[in-house]
Amino acid sequence: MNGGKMQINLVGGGKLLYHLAKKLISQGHDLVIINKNEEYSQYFARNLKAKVIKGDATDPIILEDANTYKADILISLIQKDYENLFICKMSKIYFGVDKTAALVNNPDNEDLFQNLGVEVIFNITHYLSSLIERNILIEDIKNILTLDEGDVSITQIIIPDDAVTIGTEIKDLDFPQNSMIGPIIRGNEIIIPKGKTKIKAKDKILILSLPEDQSESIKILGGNI
Amino acid sequence: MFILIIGCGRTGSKLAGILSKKQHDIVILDKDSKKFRKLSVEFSGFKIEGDALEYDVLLKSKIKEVDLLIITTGNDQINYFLSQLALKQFEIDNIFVRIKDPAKNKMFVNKSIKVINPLDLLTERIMEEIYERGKNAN
Repeated sequence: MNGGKMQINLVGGGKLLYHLAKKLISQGHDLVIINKNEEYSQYFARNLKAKVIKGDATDPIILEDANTYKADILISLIQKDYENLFICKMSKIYFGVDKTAALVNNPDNEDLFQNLGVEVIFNITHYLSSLIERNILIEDIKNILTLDEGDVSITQIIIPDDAVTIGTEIKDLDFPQNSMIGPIIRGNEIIIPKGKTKIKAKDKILILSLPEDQSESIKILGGNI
Repeated sequence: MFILIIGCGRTGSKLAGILSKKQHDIVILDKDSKKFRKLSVEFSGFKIEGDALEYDVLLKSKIKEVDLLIITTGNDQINYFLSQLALKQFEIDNIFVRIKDPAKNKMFVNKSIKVINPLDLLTERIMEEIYERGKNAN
């Protein structure tokens, strides 16, 4: 690796891969995308600044064409767990890739992937169910996004009409250290909060926090739990 | 022996018949019950319809109790996955895996796993034959 710039090999298709690829390219990484499908491959080649290889990544010849031996990380995002496992292991055993990451569709398989040394596991079922749980538990609160394996939560809360914090200035709130108040949506206006900004009923407030501080932050702002 | 065969294609169904005739206890698993029609009349074991990629189905097939596991689905990647699952999660130490593409042999290096590759066997056999004939000709 030089200066944080990496070669990242991405296997799969769909919107997830496309948007991830765009983000990684914007961060300055070199991308190689491997996709079986002719149309997808052409689309990626036209719309992304990446090298695109059309072919089956379970075939070592295709992985070779994709310069896998130079990859700093290989990410396999196919809907079939057995393909993801195979591709990650092949890139390690045949091409010496240090770091692999895979989508795990069936949560039962997470242990096996871990056991076999796949370094990063995206357990989509787990993510979705934890998001849904939090949304159901907390009324008026929308968990928009969880970043970095659940390390940062972005939550939107709506201040109820009877909240004790109405009229309080933000600087007077005893907000947890690892949390931040983001933009406030008040009617059609977006307010960037300052210390003197007062909380009003029906404000929509974005909170950035660690998951463990999330409920505390919501409570202090006067949201319902 | 108690033998579990995953995949009732040509290889799986034939093996199931032969091993059954030799008095072994056989369970054969396939996600398509129509495949069981390939089994010979000699087969006297159990047939289970289900997807071997699901843990429940494997447990129902008594995978934990097998003396030998034979994996012969038509997909090398599924065969790899199942062999690793059997080895790591169910601690089975006697596994045969049929693999189509010899380029994938290296994935399986493990003392508990025996890889059988029809293409390798065929080429070996042809090479032996050529060698034999060459010897006779001299």
